[in-house]
Amino acid sequence: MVERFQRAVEEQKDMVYSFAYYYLGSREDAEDVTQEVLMKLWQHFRELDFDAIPRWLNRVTRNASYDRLRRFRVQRRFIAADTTGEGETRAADRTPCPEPDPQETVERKDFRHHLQGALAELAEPYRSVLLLREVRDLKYREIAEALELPINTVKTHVHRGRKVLRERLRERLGESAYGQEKHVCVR
Amino acid sequence: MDKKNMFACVDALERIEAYLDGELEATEATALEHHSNACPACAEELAWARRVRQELRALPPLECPPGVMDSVMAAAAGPTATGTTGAKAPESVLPFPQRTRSGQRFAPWALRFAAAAAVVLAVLAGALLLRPTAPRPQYTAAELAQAEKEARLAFAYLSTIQRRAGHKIQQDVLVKHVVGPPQQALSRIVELPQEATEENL
Repeated sequence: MVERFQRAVEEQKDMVYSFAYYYLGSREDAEDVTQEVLMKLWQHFRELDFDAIPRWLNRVTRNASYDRLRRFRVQRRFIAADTTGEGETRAADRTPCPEPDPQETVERKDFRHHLQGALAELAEPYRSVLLLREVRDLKYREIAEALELPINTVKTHVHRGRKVLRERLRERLGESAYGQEKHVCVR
Repeated sequence: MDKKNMFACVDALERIEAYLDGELEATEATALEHHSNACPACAEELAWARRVRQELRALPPLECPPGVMDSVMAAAAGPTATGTTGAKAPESVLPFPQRTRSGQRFAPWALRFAAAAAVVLAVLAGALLLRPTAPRPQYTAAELAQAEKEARLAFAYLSTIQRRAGHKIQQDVLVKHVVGPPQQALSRIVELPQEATEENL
């Protein structure tokens, strides 16, 4: 059983870590969530079909990441209240910093940096559905299963999430950075 | 004007996401393309939406740090894991050590549990070492009662630590590996009549 578990972990650990990293924007938190999720996988391993493990991990990883974010927000809110009296600090303050690729252009890296920051600013359920849809490349049916939502609801969330993400990205980059002018309806 | 050119901006903008997903009817997709060809603002929005989506999809999968994998597998292959037979369920395995925010791994229940067990074993070892070899010592009833009382206090302490740590430790494991051996050894010294059972805990 340990051998089968090891095989499952080898196949899925990067997926779990990647989701947690892009969701939380922190290596440390992503490592904690990954370990927590794989621990749960071991505890439930005997009752799971091997083929069902990826679907199970989609749900558990998302929930563990969400729980971690919620705890973090609560924690930061108390800290902020104690020190400055201001409101809660957004998770976006911990913008991810992936390993730089020397082949990437400065502009591309800058864009990706802001994209991840904007992603980390998204509220739920948009962050989850966008990560599952665009980064994990899951089908709507698989996302609906992971989040226990109707497919049409997932589609609505994905479409709305993309729009909100684009707006956040515009704010980060500035209007001139992507050439968008004020939209004038021509028809 | 052809119907496919009848899209207003609001119609086009509403359909961008479905268009990018390839879920628009062919006639609607054509209408949206015709509209964006004639409307620079909508064409810009479509290009922007396409780029953001492509960049999202290009976010690279990240490699899980080896330390995470190592600690998970170490716990899975620990003394309570069972290899391939599945004779013992994974649920009986004690929880994995958790990581602090600074990255340090710790397991308070394990440390406290080990400390308590060490105290019990140290007391027992001391009693064994100090035992006269021959003739067999004769203890008074008061001494036996005191020894039994101390042993019960030690086991109660062990149980309290378990409860405070918030982890369920399998009773049979506790009896077999922690309580049983010292109690059996103690019984050889003071000739206690009973074996360790779950009811004694």
